[in-house]
Amino acid sequence: MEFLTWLENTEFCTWIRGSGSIWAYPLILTLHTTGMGILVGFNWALDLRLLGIARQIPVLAMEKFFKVMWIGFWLNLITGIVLLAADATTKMTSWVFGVKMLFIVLAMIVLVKMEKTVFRNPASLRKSPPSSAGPLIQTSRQTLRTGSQAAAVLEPSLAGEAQYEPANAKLLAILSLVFWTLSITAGRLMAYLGPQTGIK
Amino acid sequence: MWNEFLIFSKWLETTHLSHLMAGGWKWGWPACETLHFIGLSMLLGCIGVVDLRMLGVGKSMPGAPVHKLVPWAVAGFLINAITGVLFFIGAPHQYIKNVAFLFKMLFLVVAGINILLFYTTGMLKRVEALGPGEEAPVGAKVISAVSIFSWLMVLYWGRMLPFVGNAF
Repeated sequence: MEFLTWLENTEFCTWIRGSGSIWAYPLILTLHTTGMGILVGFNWALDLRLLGIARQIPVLAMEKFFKVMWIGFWLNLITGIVLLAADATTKMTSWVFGVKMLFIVLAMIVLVKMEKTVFRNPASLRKSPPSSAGPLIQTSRQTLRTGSQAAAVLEPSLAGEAQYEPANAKLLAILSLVFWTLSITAGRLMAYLGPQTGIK
Repeated sequence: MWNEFLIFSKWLETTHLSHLMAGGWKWGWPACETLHFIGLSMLLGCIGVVDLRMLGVGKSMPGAPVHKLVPWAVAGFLINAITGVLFFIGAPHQYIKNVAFLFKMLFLVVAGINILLFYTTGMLKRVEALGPGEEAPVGAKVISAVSIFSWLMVLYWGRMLPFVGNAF
């Protein structure tokens, strides 16, 4: 508690919290909202695809968006730490903040699992590919099982990939939707439940 | 015109719905805020995938199916339009003379015109014809860049409502 009081009253935190400059608290808060929109939004778009929306988008083609999501994550980790430090004694004793953190951790575990199993390990692709592309992919998958040249054989399988769904992908997608919804809800409700300092 | 608008917003404040939003129902405002943030994420994420595809991220996605995410962005927008109108009904006075609110509406109009341009200039057809790995036409790239910028500005000025203009 002493540490939190000290932290909250450092020159930097006092400036962030109380300077009234729009480059202090308002900017950090806006960046935090932007990061949320990026991380959660792109994750949701991916979830929707895994649940069967826009089914013709090849799932593996969406892998690039993990980079975008990670940008959102780091942006929010950094801005989140600043917001937390500026209001440390209140936030660290708020159960609502604890709930928010819990669901963020769960949502991030789901995200990492998605990245690792759905996108990095094509062996988890459950249903058989369409028969026309069958032999090619059959060989690719066999090669994959040996674990060699995974990236090289991934490319040819992209063509027939759109029709089949990665195993567990739907479950992960639903968990992701739920966990992010709950963390946003808890985040918003920090201004209404638990201890308050009047900082928005 | 402006006077009629002031009279209208004065009248809004006398409605039952306004009272509910302004504290009559304790959870009205927080619930709408939460939904507004959920809608924000849906809109930004789903339109973001489309826009970034045009700008070259995830280019192996063909154009037509990517466009199937647009209705979900629209759904996010509708959530936010409804909750946004409810905020306004709840406390019109804190928005009508708020510079941040003016800017937010301005960028909302920019985003809207931008979308109209996309659908009326034949850009949709050209984008839907894009195969995997194909580069989007320059026009589509400009529209996508304007889209990302204007939605982020809508978010920025929305966030500034309490700080520039003293809304809550």
